[in-house]
Amino acid sequence: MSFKEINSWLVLAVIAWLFFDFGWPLLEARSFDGDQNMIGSVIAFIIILVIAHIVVGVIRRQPAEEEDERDRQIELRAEEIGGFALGAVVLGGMFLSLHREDFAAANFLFLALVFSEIAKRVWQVFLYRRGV
Amino acid sequence: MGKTPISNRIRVLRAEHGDMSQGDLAVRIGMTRQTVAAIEKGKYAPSLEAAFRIAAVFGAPFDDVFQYQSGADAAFLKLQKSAVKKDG
Repeated sequence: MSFKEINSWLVLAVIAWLFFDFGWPLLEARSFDGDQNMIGSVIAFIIILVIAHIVVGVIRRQPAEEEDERDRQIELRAEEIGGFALGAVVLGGMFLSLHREDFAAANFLFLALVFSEIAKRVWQVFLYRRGV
Repeated sequence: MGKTPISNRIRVLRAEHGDMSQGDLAVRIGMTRQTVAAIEKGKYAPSLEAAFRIAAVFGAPFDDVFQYQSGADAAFLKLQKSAVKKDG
């Protein structure tokens, strides 16, 4: 298994823990108003991931391979799915904010979607002109 | 991902070149050993540059290393079908 694949498994495991540790109480309470320790969770996520990387590096006893074209292709395809999921969740958050009449959050989320689409299209047009 | 319509003789060529390991070939073409293994199994179709690099390592003509199996290319077969329909 390549280091990139091991890395994906690690992130998946740690992010699943983060989801249950951070998200489950909110889902259970059926409310997103809980005072969760978001910053603490993010810091814990980073620390656990760094430790896991060190442990894997020691166990494998070989340096991580350089990323190649297959890794990049797999990454791009996975990013596509991640992008869809993120867009859907942001859209859900926008409608939830509108429903709760939290217009600041709704406007921010809407602008985030617009901005990401602008960034995507600018990059796309640039690549069409420049060539890939 | 399923099998690609591109088959290859990399395993045979490695054996013919002093039992070159997948790792050695990977280093010579700037790829990981896992990617070389995936190419050999037909689970990954390399870019044209990478394919030419592999042929260059073995000093072999391109089509001695890679072969295109049009009969196994579902997208190609679909295109041929629709082209025939268009032409009547």
